[in-house]
Amino acid sequence: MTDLSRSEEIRFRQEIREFVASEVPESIRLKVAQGRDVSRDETIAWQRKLVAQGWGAVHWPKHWGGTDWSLQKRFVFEEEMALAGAPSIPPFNTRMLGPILLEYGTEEQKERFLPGALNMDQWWCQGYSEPSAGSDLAALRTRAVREGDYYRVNGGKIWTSYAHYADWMFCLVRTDPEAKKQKGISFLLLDMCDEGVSVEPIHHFYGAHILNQVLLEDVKVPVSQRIGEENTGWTTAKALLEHERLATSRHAEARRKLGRLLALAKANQDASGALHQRADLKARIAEVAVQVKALEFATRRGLEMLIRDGRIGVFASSLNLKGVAINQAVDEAIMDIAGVDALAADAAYDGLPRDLLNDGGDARYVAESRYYLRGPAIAAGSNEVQRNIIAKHVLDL
Amino acid sequence: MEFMLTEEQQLIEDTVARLLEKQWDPRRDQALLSADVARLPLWHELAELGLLGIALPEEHGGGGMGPVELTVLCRRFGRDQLRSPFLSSLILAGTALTCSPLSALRDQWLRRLATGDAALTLATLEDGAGYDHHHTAIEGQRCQQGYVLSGRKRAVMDATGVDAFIVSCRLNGELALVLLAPETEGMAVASYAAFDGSSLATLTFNDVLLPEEAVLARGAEARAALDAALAHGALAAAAETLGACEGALERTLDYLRLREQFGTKLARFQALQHRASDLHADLEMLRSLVSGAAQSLTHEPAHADAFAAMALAVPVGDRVCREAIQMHGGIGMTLELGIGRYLLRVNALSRLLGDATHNGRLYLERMEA
Repeated sequence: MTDLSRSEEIRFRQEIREFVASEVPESIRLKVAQGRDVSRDETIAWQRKLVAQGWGAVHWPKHWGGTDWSLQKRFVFEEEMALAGAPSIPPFNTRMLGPILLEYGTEEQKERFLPGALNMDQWWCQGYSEPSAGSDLAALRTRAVREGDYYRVNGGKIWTSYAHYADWMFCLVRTDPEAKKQKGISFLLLDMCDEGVSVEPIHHFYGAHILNQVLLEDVKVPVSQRIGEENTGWTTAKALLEHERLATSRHAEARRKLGRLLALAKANQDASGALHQRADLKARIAEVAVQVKALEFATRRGLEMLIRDGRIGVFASSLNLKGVAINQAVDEAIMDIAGVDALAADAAYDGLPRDLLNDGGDARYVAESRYYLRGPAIAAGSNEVQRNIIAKHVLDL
Repeated sequence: MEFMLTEEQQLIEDTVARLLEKQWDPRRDQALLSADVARLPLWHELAELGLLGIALPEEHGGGGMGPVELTVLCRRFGRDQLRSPFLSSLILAGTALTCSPLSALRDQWLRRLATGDAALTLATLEDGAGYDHHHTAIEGQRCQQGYVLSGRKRAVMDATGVDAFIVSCRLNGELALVLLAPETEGMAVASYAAFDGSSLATLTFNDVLLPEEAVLARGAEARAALDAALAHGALAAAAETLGACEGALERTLDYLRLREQFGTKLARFQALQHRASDLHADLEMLRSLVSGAAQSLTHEPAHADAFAAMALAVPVGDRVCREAIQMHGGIGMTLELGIGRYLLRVNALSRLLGDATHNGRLYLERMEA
C-alpha cells in the first residue's frame, strides 16, 4: 500500500526541511512560528518558489504542473512542510479550484484558469456562505438569471476569506429557484474586477482582517465561466469538499504548536521555578501532548482509508471535530503557559530573551493565534453540524 | 503504518469472538474472580489455540506475534467483559520474562507460560509509591546463599493459583527482577477481591531467602524488562478499555434506537444525538491511538506511545462508560442489565496500570527524552 520506502521517506522529509530552511525568509519563518497571517505578496512569492521547485500543486497531474505523486507521498509532503514551518498557502487556488477544474472543467476552461491558479497570477476566493446560508449552505439565495451568453448575478456572499486579496471568485449561485434546495444551484467563476462586485471587510473580534462580505449587484458572468452543467453546482461543490477532508484535522499544525508549548514551558518561570517542572502544568502539557499524538495517528488512519477506499466517509466528521478541539486545547495551554507575556499584541513588547524570539518560543501573538482557531469550529460545517452528521450515521437516522 | 487488521489478525479476532460467544457469559459468570477464569475450559481452549502465548517467543512455544495481536485479544476481552489472568500473567509477566536476559530460568518459565502450563504475575507496587511500579524499597540483604528479602507488595493481580511471582527489589543497590514461588518460606499471600471482580493480593516477605539463581535480571537489564512489561501492560489496558467502550457504546446506541419516551424514540432527541456523537469521536481517537501505539511497540518494546494510549483511555473510558449508564436511564443502574460492569472494569484498569496523570507524565518524560 505504501510506495515510499522508509529510507526514501526519510530522505524526502530531509529534502523538504532543507528547502524550507533555505528558502523561507527569516521574517516569514517568525510569523509562521508565531501563528500569524502571512501577507498577500509573501504568500504569492512563496507559492512561486514552490512552483519553481515543481511543488506548486503536488496533487495535480504532471501535465498541469503537478507531480503524479501517490496519496501517501503527498501526505508526507504536506505534513513535513507544515512541521518545517513553511507558510501555508490558502487552499482556494490549488486545493479547491484546481481539482474542480480538473474534474469538471472543459479543456478551454482548464487552459484558461489552471496556469494562473498555480502561479497565483490570479488569487482565488471561495463564494459559498451567505447571510442566510451558513452551515445550511444549500439555503443560498444569490440568484443568477440566464440572459443569452451571460448570467446576471444578484445577491451576496459572506465570510469570504481573503476576498480583499482576490482577483477571482468561484461561487455557488441559484439558477433554478423552483427546484428543490440542492438541485437548482450552479458553479460560476467570477472576475472580482467586474462591475457590480464590491468587497466589505469583516473584522474578527480580535481585530484581524481575513473575512469579507462580497456584494454582487447585476454582475454579468459569461456562461463560458460556468463549471459543469447548469443546476449541478452542488455536486461539484461536494466533490470539492471531499478533497479537503483529511486536512481539517490540522495535525501537523497541532504538532508544531506543541513544540512551541514545550519551549515556552521550559523558558518561562514563576516564583517556584521553571514552569515545565510544575506538577500541575506538567499534567496539563501531557494531556495536550497525548491528544496531539492521537490526532496524528487518527489522521494517518484517515490517509489509509483514503488510499484503500478512495474516501473517508463519516470519519471525516470525527477528524474535523477533534482536530478543531485539540488545536484549541494546544492554543489554550500555550496561552496559559505564556501567562502575562500573552497579553502582548504587537512587536513593541520586549519582555522575552532574544534567542527565544528567534526560536519560535515567542509568546507575542499567542492570543491572536488562539482566537483565529475559534473559526474552524464554525466554518465548513460547525461542530454542531459535524455532530449531526455523526449521529445520523451511528444512530441510523 | 497499517491501521486495518491483516487477514491473519482478523482471523484471530473472529476465533476469540466465537469462542467467547460459546463459552463466556459475563452475567452467568459474574461471581467468578479473574484468577478463577484460569480454571475454566475456556482458558484451556485459549491455550490450545495458541492464543494465550500468542506474543511469546516462538522458540519457547509461543506464537511469535506482537503487540498488535495482543491488542486484538484485549479489545475483544474488554468488549465481552472477560476479566482473566491474561493481563497479569501473559502480558505483564510474559513481557518481563521475554525481555529479560537469556537464562535457563527465563526460558523454562517462558515455555510453561506459552503452553498454558503455568501462570505468573508481576509484584511491583509498594506502599506509599502511588502508581510507580519502578519504585521499590525492598533491599536484598546479602547472605551466604544469596539474599534475604523483607517488605510488602500491594495490588498484585491474580495471585491465587499462581506458580511464581516476578518480584521487583533492589540488590546491591540496583533494581532487580526475581522469581519466587508462592510456597517460599517467609512469604504470605493475602488475597482479596476488587470492585470489578479482579482478584488481588498483598504479598508480605518476612526474611525470605532469595537464592542467586532466582534472579531474572539486574540493573539496566531489569529496568528494560520492567519498562517493556509496563508499556505492554499500558497498551493492553488501553486496548481492553477501548473494547469495553465499544461494547458500552454499541449497546447504548441500540437502546437509543429502541426506547421510546414522550412519544418518540430517544434517538430523535438532539441532546442525546450530540452526546452520542461526541462519544463516537472520542472512540475514533482512542482507536487510532491504540492501533498506532501497538505498531510503535512492535518496533520498540517500551515505546512511549503505549503510555499515551493509556493516558487517553482512562478519561475516554470513564466518560463513555458513565454516559452509557446515564443514557440507559434507570435500567442502566441495574446489575441485571450489566452495562455498569464496563465502568467498573475501566476504572479498575486505571487503578492497576495508573491513572491519566500518571500515564501522561510517563509519556511526556519519554517523549521528550
